[in-house]
Amino acid sequence: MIAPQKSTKNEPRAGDVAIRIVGMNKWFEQFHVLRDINLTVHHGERIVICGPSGSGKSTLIRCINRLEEHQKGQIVVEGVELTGNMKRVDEIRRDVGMVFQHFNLFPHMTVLENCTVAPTSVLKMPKRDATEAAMRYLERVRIPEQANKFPGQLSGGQQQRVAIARALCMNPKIMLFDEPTSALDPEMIKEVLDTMVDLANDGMTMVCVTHEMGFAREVADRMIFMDQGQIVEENAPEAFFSNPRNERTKLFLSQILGH
Amino acid sequence: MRLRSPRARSYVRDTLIPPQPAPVHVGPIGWLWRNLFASMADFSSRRATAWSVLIGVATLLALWFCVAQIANFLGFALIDAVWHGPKDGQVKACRPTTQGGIQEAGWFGACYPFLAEKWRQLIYGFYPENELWRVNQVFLIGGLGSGWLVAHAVPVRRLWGIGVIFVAAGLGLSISTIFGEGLLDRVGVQILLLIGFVWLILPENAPRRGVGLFMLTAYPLISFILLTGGDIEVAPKLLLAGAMAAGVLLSASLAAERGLLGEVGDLLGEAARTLGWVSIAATALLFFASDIFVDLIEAAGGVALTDKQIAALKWWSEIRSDTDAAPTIADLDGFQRAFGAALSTQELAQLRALQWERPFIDATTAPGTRELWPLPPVETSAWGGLMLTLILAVAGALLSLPLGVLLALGGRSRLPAVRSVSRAYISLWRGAPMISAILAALIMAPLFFGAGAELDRLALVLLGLVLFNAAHQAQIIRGGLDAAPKGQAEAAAALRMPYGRTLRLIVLPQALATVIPGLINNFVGLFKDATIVLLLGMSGLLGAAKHAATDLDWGSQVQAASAYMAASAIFFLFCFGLTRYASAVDREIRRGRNR
Repeated sequence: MIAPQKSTKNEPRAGDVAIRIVGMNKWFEQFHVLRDINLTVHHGERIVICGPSGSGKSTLIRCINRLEEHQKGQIVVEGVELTGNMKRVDEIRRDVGMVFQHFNLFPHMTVLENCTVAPTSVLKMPKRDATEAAMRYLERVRIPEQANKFPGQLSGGQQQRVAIARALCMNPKIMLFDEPTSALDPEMIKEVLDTMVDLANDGMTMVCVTHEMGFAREVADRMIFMDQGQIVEENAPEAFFSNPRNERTKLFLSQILGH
Repeated sequence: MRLRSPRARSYVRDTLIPPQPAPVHVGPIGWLWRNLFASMADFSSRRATAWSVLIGVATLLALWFCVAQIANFLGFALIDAVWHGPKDGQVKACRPTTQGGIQEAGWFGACYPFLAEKWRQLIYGFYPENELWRVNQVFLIGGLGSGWLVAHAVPVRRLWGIGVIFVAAGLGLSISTIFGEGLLDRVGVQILLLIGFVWLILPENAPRRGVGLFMLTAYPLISFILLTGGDIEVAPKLLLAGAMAAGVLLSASLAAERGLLGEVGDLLGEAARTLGWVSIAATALLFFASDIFVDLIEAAGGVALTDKQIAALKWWSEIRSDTDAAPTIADLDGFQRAFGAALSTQELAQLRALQWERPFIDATTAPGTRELWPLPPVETSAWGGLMLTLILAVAGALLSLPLGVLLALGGRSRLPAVRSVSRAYISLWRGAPMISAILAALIMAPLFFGAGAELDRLALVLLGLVLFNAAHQAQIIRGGLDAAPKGQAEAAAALRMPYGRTLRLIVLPQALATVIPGLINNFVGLFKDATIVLLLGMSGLLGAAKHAATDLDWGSQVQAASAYMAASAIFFLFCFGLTRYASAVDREIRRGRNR
């Protein structure tokens, strides 16, 4: 199943390992949040992680780009093992983009500035090139006309699409989505999900924490169900929805699909 | 309501409540009723009646007190006030008849002829009268620049009226300069006109960034040179050291940005970058304010006068004290007799080219060496009045801001040493009164700089003020840092932005924007507290008022009250305006957050 790593880092091929997590554990003080997590994500794969609140889904994907530190086990992203070394952390963040539940756009900058601040200040990209690239991505998320507004002037759905464009501006190979639609009004969820579907169709490697089961059914290659800090079930979407193996998965699905 | 049984949980009304008259509490009468009379019109029970009567009496007493006080004040400031003094001697205007004046004994009112004579002192202290235009320039640019920056709260295009006012004021003042004594010098008038026109043709988004940058860099430099006169003795090696420090710091920050200094490098790089720009600014200030700069100007366009020419100038200034008048033929004859033979034709022509006016004034102060530099020096001991208070407050607030930011950041640092030093500093200065900070700076400075060092008193006072105020600002800024959501730094981290740049580009701008109202209130406090330099023999606005109040020439009972009234009016105008602006910004921020 695990293909030998032949490709160079710049050109990941579908099927190569993108993220490998082996025996990972995390504690918040005394509280054991993540227990023995094992997970491998391949390039081009779309993983959806779901589970009840407090099950450690967000913490898991925040560990992947070191917004949280893990205490035990291994996380390897694009062949680089994640340690406390800031250089390695930076190498990993170069490949990993992230979209947050509460968007976390910079409110004192325009939409365009939100998208260009990192490329210009981190990648030292000339301002004109950064603007050009940003406009391309804003077109891709279908809001180029909002480029000169401030985040506070946009709807939640528009803000989240800007956040996706902002992450894409750094040319990541992997995108992490941390409950991207949970802070949105129902009528805005669709526009964000559509954007994510587009992204998936373009072949982006994605790890999404979400409760949008319709979206999961449509794009996920694999479903992960977590409970109490553990991966309880890992399954293909059809099997996951029609015939879950685990009792807790069944209960969870009946609760969120039942109404 | 009566329940049918103690345990009944529901109740159904079986009879209608009889209709009641509609409330009359609408309109202005309704407002008065609700807010004033309703509380004293309840006579339904004995207890309520007693309260109503009590409240009524208390209201009447309070009302009487307010009216009496306002009447007292208006009586003093307007009704009993003296507006014009007698033609034969203004100083008699407010003196009682028993002392040779024209007022009856027991008269008490504001004395405006007195204020008309003293207002210069209240505003400028003892700044030389011929040089007041320099202070006016500083005031004018400062007022226009900060006005421009403040105007962002309102859409600029709707403020086209301001442009009209500026143009009208500029035209009016320029006409007044043509007919005799102008209120402002010509440059000021030109600036007024220029600002007015620019304002009128400006698109909605005024170049605020540019104006802000100008006000923070060029304006302090211009003000410093205008107010002191520049031409300060500076050792060239000091300038060299400043330039070299800037070069080293800026290249270090460039290296850090390219990641050459490793992971700690980014924060150090940010610090180096900031310090680099600060040393560039300081070196530039030092250079333009130095005698080196003035020497260069003189060498480039000036006439280096010979000793004989200087002697001629001295002779001239001795025989002519009234230098405004053109020289008479007799004067020129005397000059020819004394120096005509000694001076060559060329030397004489050079002196003539100097137009007989300016250089002769300058010759008395700095003999013959500064022909082109238009600013004779003014010692800081001559500064005073509103001008001094404003300088202390503005310079103090602006200079302490960087230190305040550093302390606020240090107080939240993960490094225990940095954190405890910052917190100790903040607690120490916050626990001491301002005057002790200033005295400490005045007394301790010789210990640090060496006993012989001649340090400007005002600079030392400012140093104490800055050290003191930084601690208070740090506390305010800390609030802003605490209020910045954690997600912002996380988003920046996910975008690979290192800590230093996250601070500078993401966290600090938001934190500072949220605490602008707090910083303005801090400035208002500083503005008022800066009056305590009175205790050190410096006369700020209050000191100038006190000084004016004791002028024996006027010999009046009311001059203290008049002077303090004027000083409080000025204080009130500034502080009230600023607090209103602070609350406008506060509203703006809240609105922005809710959007």
